[in-house]
Amino acid sequence: MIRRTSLGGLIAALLVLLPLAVQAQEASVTTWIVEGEAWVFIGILVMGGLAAVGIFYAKAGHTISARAMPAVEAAEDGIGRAVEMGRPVVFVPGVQGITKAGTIAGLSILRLVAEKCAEVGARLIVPCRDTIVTSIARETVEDAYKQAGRHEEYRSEDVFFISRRQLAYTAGVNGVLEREHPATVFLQGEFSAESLIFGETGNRAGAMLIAGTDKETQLPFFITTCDHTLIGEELYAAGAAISKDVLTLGSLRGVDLARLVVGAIIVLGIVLEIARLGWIRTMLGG
Amino acid sequence: MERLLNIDRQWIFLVVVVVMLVGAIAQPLIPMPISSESRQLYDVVGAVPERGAVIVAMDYGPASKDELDAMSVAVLHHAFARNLRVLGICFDQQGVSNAERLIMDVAADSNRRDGDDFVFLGFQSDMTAAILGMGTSIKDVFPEVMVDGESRTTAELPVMRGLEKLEDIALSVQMTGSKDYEKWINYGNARTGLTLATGATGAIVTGLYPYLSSGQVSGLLRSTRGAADYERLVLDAHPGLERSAGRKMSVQFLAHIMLLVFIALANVGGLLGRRTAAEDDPA
Amino acid sequence: MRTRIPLALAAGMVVLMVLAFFSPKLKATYESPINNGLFIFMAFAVVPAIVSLIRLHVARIRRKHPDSIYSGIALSALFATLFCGLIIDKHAFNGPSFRWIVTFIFEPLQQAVFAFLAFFIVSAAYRAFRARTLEATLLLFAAVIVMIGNAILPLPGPSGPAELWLLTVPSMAVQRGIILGVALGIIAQSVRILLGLERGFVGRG
Repeated sequence: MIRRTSLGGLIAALLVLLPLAVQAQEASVTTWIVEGEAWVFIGILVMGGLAAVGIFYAKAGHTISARAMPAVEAAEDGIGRAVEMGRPVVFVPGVQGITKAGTIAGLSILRLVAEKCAEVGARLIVPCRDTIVTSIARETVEDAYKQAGRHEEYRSEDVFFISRRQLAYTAGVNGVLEREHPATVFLQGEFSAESLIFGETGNRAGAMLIAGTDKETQLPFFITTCDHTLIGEELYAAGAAISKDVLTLGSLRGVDLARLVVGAIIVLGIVLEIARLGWIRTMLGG
Repeated sequence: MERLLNIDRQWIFLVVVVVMLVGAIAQPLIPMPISSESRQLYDVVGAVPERGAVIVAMDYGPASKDELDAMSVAVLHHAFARNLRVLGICFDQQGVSNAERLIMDVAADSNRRDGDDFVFLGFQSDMTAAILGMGTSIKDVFPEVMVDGESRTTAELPVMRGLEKLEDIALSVQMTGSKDYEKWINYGNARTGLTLATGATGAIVTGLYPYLSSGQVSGLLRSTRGAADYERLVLDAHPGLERSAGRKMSVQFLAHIMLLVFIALANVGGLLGRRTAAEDDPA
Repeated sequence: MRTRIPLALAAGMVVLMVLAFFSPKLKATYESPINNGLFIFMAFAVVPAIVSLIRLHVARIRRKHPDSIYSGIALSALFATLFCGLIIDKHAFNGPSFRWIVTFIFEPLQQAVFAFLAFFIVSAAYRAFRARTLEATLLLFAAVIVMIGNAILPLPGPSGPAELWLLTVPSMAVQRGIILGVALGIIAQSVRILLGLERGFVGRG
């Protein structure tokens, strides 16, 4: 379902692009297209197009399901655990800003976790590093409580900004974990060197840890310290898997198609290289 | 077995402190071979012709300072010893003063003149725009710099003679503790063919091996080990460099042994526990 | 309306920034004003965040929370730094008292927090590197080989040092797979933003 607002946005972008581009400020910049990047542009169009195909496939009424992800299944158990133990849930939406894809994915999961917490009456604490993310997280959690009809239980002081500095934020979150003794800690988004510190401190606090990041360099730390981890693109798929939103699941099917295309190109490339026919490498600019 | 499996964290931390102190004091000498990727970086810097220009981008803040300062100093020392022109940059807001201090200190030790042999171009908040901009004109991205405490126009500096854009730079060596090396690769190497080398912290260095393998990065320093290797290589040809990473490797040697002992204890305890459980319950 | 405008803006920006990435002419026109606009938004967003931080800690102090002393320290540090920057340094960027605070308080504290990693790595390794399952055993062997090869003594491998082979062959293959998957996931997320299906950044549902 293409929302009318998105279509409006697309049309607005094109209307803005064409006339203003003609009056480009930089007269010295005369090149319209960067040379040698045509294949990258085509690749983006093809992969994006396949994702869109998946969405329209779902819109047409086909049933799509995501494979089971242990971390997703554990999320509900973790929130239930918090209610039983009378301890809060802490959600850390990553350490990067709203411009990062991992942060957007983390905030999507926050919405679902907040809805569940509101439904069962678990306290949710969300310490944030970025100021814009703090505002969005606050609105997200408040809206979740409103939708669950428990707005009176929403505590605005539980969604707060700590610091923009990486290790000051790390120390602040550590303090929250040590003082509040949460039953469950969600670490969902983009993380860097503080991932191990969060994992270990969460363990010391006796919490169940459910992590998810798209940063492959931080995955080993989460896997060794956390009970469940969403690996790489599972972070982007988790929102769809939890909400079971048909159209979002459709985009996952589109990504699977794109993955098949990439795999086929890789296999073809290997075969051609073995046969000493490097035209695909040459064509792609290698 | 239970004790082996459940050593209290406080005891573990105490042992860590003791081992680190012993390592820092005793300084055992470790005869490790020099890694191939460190040698690769050394050769790449060595291949830059005399008076060729090298960018040294110290894109890290206080958190990564201990791991990356040693390699920054070693690379700067090597570049100055070979009489290369050095352009210092820092894209991490928290690391600017440290980066400037490092380049000034090493330059002073090597008798290099600010403005003639090197310049600290400074900081730009938007790294992507800056690297893209340098692909067209370095002086437009950094129009003014501080030289000997005075503000000067970048274009008029002797060190910048003939250096218009990234294509005029022989090599860029970036030290980083985050994944922003991808920006140098995507916008520096891919767009302009800039030769790149990277020094990275242990937490993120594994992400660079694909780029090293594909040739997009021409040399790699792997955390303290890479810095120690590079120090040895530089000291062989150009004495005068302090072995700070080499001293840290001595501490790492003992720390790694300690870590292996703890892992062995945990696994031995687990194995004995499983045997005991099997003997108690043969069914 | 509160959701439609951000969604429409996001969709438009996706198109614009993708095209601008490949077009130097469009990039020259749009990238700088958009980035400057983003920095301005971020600067303004600091104000409500700081206000909420102050309210949070003042409330804790008023309620005589058991850990209210830390709230007192946080507020004192905040106001002292503001005082140094605005009054003592007279709004100068990176003035002397600011630099003193950064060099002698902030940086040592950052390094101290970062030093936790040394302790946590040991306790995490002790707890996690146990041969309980096949995967855990593989993880254990890989970790031991890399640790020994990195700092103790070189171990022979299929082609050169064993730890280098592990880092450059299986580890790199897995990382490439994860990077590819993440890239495809980001493209799918961007398409969802374009079509107004992704609402994580909007706040209100």
